[in-house]
Amino acid sequence: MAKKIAVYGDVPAKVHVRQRYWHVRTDGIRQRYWHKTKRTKIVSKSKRWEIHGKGKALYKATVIAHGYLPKEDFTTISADKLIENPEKYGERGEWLEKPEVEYE
Amino acid sequence: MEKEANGLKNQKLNTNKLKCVLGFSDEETLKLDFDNVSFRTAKYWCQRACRQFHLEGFIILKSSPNHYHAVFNKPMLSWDDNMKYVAWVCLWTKYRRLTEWLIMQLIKKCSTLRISPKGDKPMPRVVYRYGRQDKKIKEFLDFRNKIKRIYRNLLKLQSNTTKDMSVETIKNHECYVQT
Repeated sequence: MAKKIAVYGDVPAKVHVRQRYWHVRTDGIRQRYWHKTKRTKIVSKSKRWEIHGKGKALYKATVIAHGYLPKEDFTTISADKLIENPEKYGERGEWLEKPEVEYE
Repeated sequence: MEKEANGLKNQKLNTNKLKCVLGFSDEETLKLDFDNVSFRTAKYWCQRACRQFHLEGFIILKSSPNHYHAVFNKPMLSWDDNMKYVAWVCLWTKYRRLTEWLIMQLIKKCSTLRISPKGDKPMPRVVYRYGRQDKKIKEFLDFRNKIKRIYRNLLKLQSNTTKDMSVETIKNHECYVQT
């Protein structure tokens, strides 16, 4: 496989809030279970593009990857395909900024 | 005075940064990521692996204080072959962070090293060279230069254009990256 440019970072993602509910089991014991609720919250999630290609196409694809967040968590794609149809593989948005690391 | 001269401080002052990170990713180059390890230790393990498996040579890149990346010269025949050497280093060093990195690479099925700055960390820079550098190291450094050029162009593009950049603007952008 060819060499690839990895464009990665944190993106805002909508996830269902999970909540614990009491249930009565068939054997009569009450137990708490985790359930997905309808409520959603926005969390930060790590996603990445893996782009392979050549020269100008690779550069253009990287620029597009900078402006588009991938729909899947991990997207390996050729530069030409991403340039042709970026909406198919990603959606417009901004990457979240990394928290600053303190040095000693 | 020393802190200002070492280059780290100068890069930290640059607030104009990309929010995403650019990295180099492939299957045939043997790479190692040493976190929370001194330069001496990283160099020792690289030299030991190099002698044990005849890996021809390596370079060490400093990503931030006590964090180093290593790239070896010998081309790997396959992904399994590549991971065999990384697993050997993990087994002997018993470094938890390196093992975690190995597991992440196994999930992705390709190993990645960072090229662009990330948060407050500057671009990784070469601090040590050993042995031959003509095969995978040369390819890595060439591709690294390409990514660095793309990064610089992206920064320019980011400062010149507005946030709502249409797809057509991106597609018709005239900047050209030489291959």
